[in-house]
Amino acid sequence: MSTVELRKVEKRYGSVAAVHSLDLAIEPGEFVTLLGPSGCGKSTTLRMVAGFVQPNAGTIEIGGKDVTGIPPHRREVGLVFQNYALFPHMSVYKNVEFGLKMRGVDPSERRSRVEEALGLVKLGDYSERMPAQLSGGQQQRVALARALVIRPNVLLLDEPFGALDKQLRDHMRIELRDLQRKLNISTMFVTHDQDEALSMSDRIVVMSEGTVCQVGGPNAIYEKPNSRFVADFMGRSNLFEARQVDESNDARTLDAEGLLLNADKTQELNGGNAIVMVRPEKIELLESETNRDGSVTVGGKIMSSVYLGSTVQYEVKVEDGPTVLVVRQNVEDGSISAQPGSPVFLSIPHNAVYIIPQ
Amino acid sequence: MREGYGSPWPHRALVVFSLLVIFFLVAPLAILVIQSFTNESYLSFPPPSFGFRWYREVFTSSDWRDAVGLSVLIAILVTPLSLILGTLAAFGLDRGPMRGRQSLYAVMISPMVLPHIVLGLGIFRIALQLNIEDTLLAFVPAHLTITVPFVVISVGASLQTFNVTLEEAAMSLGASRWRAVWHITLPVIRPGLIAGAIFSFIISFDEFIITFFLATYEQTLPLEMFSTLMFQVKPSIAAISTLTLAVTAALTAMLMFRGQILGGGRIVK
Repeated sequence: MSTVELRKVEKRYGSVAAVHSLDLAIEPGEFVTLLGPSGCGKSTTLRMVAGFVQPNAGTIEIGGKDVTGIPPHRREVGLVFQNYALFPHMSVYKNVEFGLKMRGVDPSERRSRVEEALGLVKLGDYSERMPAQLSGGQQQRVALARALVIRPNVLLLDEPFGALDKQLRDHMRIELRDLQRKLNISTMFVTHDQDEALSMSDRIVVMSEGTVCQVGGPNAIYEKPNSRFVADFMGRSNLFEARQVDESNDARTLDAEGLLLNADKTQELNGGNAIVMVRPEKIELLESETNRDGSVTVGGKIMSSVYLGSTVQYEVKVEDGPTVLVVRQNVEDGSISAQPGSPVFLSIPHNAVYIIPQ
Repeated sequence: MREGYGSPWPHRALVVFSLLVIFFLVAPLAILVIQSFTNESYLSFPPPSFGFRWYREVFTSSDWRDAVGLSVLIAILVTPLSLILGTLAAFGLDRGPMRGRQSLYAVMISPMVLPHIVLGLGIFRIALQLNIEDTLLAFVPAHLTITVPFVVISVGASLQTFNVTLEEAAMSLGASRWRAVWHITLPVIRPGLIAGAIFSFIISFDEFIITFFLATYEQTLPLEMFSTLMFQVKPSIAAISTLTLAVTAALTAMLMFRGQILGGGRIVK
């Protein structure tokens, strides 16, 4: 039985569908991320699960119980907001205790559960502080403890790291994921940040304009996007219009806007035309023409290079072909002279060429 | 010398000007307070001798006692009603549909800008028709018309800075909407509620024009002071004014003090 199950859920505002016929299930202990640009319906979906937004059609089940139409306070969900929403007039302790009080848990059990929850987020010593006396990261942890202490069926996280600076965000990501695994709690996480989605999720649900574009593990979503939108949204990519020009036993040769690429034949090609994707970090830059097994090598000229610290991003114009984005690790092996205008060769492995299904 | 002033003179002139303003505002009150402690039977400044004669007079006179009693009774009835009505209105304006919100707000606070004499005349006509003039049934609603806008404004301002996700957080933790408002929203907007209550009390206690229309035999404190002044100027007026001043000042001080504690200290946005 799934922890959360949405069936044909629909939310319209006037004539605009914020969420359109959405099916989604979260399995026990699973970490599912709703990912998409703003306005894609991910937050509306989360708010429907929480009960703040009522769907126009469809059903929502939590813990096997139909909760469609049931108000938020009887849904057994733990919710963490982007701005934490800690009660400013209550101490850390009272904040965490609030949900237990509302549920009528008796005082001695309340105490032990609040202490346990604060211990989980390593804030045992802060129980008498007021929220305003805490740092952003600490407030985030209190919000998490407050949501977890009620032992909800599902943890709902609405862009919970949006207000933290980058270093703290990276740290909280790991901490949250560890905690989630330890408690084995089903989690629905909403974000617009691809890195967060890729690094934390068991499954990612990519959404756009109120519909689900693709559901899959981080690897599948990144390596095998099912549409141009997903490919484009999940990080930097080279996307080319391509048509097949030759075919051998195990490979297809594609003309990608003037660039000849080989793709594994296991990939279907509907009709003669397709969009192919090559992730920029899978292309190798060479100073001299070196033919490698299973790769095509083409010559080009560096148009620009952008230094990004751990990586360097190049734009390479292929002779009589497209401009290709290449990202290389910033390792000092002296293999590339990064000056714009320098001639280079691109080595593109067969298995880096991915045909987007249409 | 402070930076940014070419010469100390503009700064000094400003200080002198400010002191003059304070002097003109405070001096008449100070003179009144001092006069109230006279032992003579007439008002003079400075009084030739001091004592509590006129305070005794005020406290023992049944006219003054009744007037103060009625004013306090009205204010005590008006304050909670004003707070409830004003807070409900402020919630409605804050959470209700956007459409017409601005005009509804303008209507609600219009008694603040309408001439009270016009309001008083209107209320008087209705009270006559209902045959309730000269009773609490007329005084209390009449005072509410002018005190409620102050609550709408002070509570409305608090609600505007209130983060609604706090209520949603409370609901996700198992509180119904009512309990969320009771346990979270109302405590967080408490400075606005306190301000609204104190404004309501002071304004009702001090109200003259509208009450003047409605009262015939019943006398509130401002009415009693006015009618006393019409016939004679006795030091008892100074004594009762000083008492009124003390109560108002105490309430205002409380407002500032509470505002500071709740607005600046414990609760930080």
